[in-house]
Amino acid sequence: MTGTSRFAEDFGFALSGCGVGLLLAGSTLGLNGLWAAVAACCCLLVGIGGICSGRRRAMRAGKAEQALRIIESMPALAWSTDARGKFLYMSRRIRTLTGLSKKELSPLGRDTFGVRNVVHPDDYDRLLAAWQHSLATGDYYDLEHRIALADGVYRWFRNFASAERDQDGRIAAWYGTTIDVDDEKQAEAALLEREQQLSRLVDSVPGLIWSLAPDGEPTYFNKQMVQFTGLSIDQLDNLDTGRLAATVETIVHPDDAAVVTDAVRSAIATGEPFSLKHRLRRSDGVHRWVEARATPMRNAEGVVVQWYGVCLDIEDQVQAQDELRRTRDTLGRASQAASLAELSASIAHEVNQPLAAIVANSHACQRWLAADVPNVERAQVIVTRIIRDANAAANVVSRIRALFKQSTQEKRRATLGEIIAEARDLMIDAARQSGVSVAMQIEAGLPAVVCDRIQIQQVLINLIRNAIEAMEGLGDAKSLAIRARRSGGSVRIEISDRGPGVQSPDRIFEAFVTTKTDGMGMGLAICRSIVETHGGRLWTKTGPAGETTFTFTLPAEADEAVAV
Amino acid sequence: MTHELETSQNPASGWMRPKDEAEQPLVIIVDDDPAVREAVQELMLSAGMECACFASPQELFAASVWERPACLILDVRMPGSSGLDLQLHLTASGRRKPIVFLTGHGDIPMTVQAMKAGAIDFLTKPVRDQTLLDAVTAGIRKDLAQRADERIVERNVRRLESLSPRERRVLYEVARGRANKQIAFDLGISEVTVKLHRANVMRKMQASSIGDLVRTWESLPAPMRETCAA
Repeated sequence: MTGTSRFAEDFGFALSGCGVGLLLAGSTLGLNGLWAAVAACCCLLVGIGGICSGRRRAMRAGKAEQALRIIESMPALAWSTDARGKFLYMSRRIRTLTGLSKKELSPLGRDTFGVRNVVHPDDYDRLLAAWQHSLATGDYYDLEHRIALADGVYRWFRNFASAERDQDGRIAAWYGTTIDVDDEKQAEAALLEREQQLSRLVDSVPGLIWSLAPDGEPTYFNKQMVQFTGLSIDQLDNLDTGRLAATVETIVHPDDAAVVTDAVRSAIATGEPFSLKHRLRRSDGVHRWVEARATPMRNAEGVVVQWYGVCLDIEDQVQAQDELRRTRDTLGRASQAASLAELSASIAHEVNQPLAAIVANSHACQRWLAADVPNVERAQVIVTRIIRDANAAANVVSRIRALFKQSTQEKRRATLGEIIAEARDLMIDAARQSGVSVAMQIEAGLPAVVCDRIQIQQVLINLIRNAIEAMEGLGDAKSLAIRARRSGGSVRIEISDRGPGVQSPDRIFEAFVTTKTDGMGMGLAICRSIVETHGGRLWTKTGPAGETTFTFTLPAEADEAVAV
Repeated sequence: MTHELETSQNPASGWMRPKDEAEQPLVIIVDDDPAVREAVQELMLSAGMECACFASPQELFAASVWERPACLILDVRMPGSSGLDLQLHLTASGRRKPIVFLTGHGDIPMTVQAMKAGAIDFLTKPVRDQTLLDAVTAGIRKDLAQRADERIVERNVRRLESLSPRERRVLYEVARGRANKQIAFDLGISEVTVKLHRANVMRKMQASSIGDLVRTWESLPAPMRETCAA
């Protein structure tokens, strides 16, 4: 066998060792790329070991040098020692990096190794213990520690070494690899730091954060959530009902439980983010309104892998809103009553004064004329005054009429869809509180109308409020429909409810006629007059299915359709 | 200033017109509405009554109309102060003239307040002529009677002022029902002297009997009676 072929054979052996190592590493250990490469290097070194042991032969062949160059060029530092740990071989780069020779790194005394000079003092005891253990037992050596480079800077390295035994099973030599893992170490530390930071963030934001598995089962509650509800994820284990059901039962208000469960289920079914307001039970038993929002996280294939959610405490907000609404209602009713009472008192006074004067004057006139000597002159003066006062009374009446006719805002071109949506938004809370669902059906491409936006909104709000109040006593199925569509030259708006219907559909629009116990009976009269001043009509009808529909029309602006 | 004094050109009836000009009754009208003021005045004139008209309580206070027997016709609702406030103010300042209220919208509390404070009547506008005239007539009668009482009191006060301090003391004791002997003992004088004082008192007070003297005594203002005890 020639030197060349022998080297090729040895090198081939090394390479095949490397391959086997790779296979072993990959299949059995399931290591990642880095560790697989390291394992391959180890295997390669085993092959190289063969070359080293037959160094003379390789030298003879003149090819061993080439193999070493290959070793040196690998992204790892290779070394070998004898059974006692004395360095036999060391990559040239080890010496370059540390600035120490292999002699200087070998054992210096009974329990001192030269590596002490380069290893971080905090790591040395660990290293010594592990290395001595391996030397004593032949166990695989694997340790991470810091090594000072020639410039004094420490870097993390991972070291592996395996023992080679002779035919008698005694350790003949150690073959080792050292790889620079400093970057990975730092990345790992940064990752850990970031993770801790995130977890601190998640735990300290003033919100209750949680996550659900794709099937809706809770998987995580942040610290705030646990503190608020007093419920931790661990408590949800070992339950027959499932975590979601248990969570809902424990911390959601009983009246909201169905809504919450439905929301989660439908979100899981559709994969759409969801949000809802519900009451959450605090650990002290008090229920507080929260706004829950959740959004799914998907993997590259678009499959939902987790739901992330947050609950914000909106109790104060809800309370404030309720308070505001109550105040607004009270104020509205009070001002309505006050203004009407004041108005009527003022009208009465204005008209009554001239009437009183007329009556008194008439009496006086009568007396002057009935006297023994009728004073006609005086009577004529008084009659002039009576005419003057009667005209004054008539003027008061026409002033009042003008006052009612007065329009505060001029009419503008407007989109009905928008006005209806605004009115719906204003009333949606009232509807929700009364358990009424509101459906909107706005025909696309409705023509614009010329109207006083505020007045038409008042009409809509009035009709919607009436509809909601009409359904007060009803149980379920409280629904309200708002429809708008084109009908000839006008736009037709319908508001339907499932209330008890209207007894006298013609009289209901008269002033001071009401079916409500606390109503003024002015609303519909005002609505009708507003619609009529807009050139439209307002009427009501009870349908065959018992639904009451209030319909009003507004003239469409000449053929110009606008997008709704 | 709408202070107008107008005399009837056609005294339909001179039913209560004394000879003395200062004793002629006056109807005082306070209403902010000129048409109403004018019409009420016209009605009063047609009934032969003299009127003084004012647009506000302030104008009324500035005028000197308090010497004559009068009845006030007040509008309840006036800018500034109401007729009810005016009533309280007049009572407080001792001008206790009878008042007839006229109002566009009277409610029960208002009426009760006015009547409790001594109003003659509380009428709503428009008012029937006879109702208003009756009320005003009643008011004037009341004022005349009041004034007559006041005059008697004034006369009695003057008579009392003519007594000497000792006579006053004797009057005080007699009115208390004390016998001459007791009075003489208390004052440390003889019974004869008491009898003399007593005769003077009867004469100066123009009392025809003891009963008459006690009635006159009772009509005197309380503070004045107290001064006699000293």
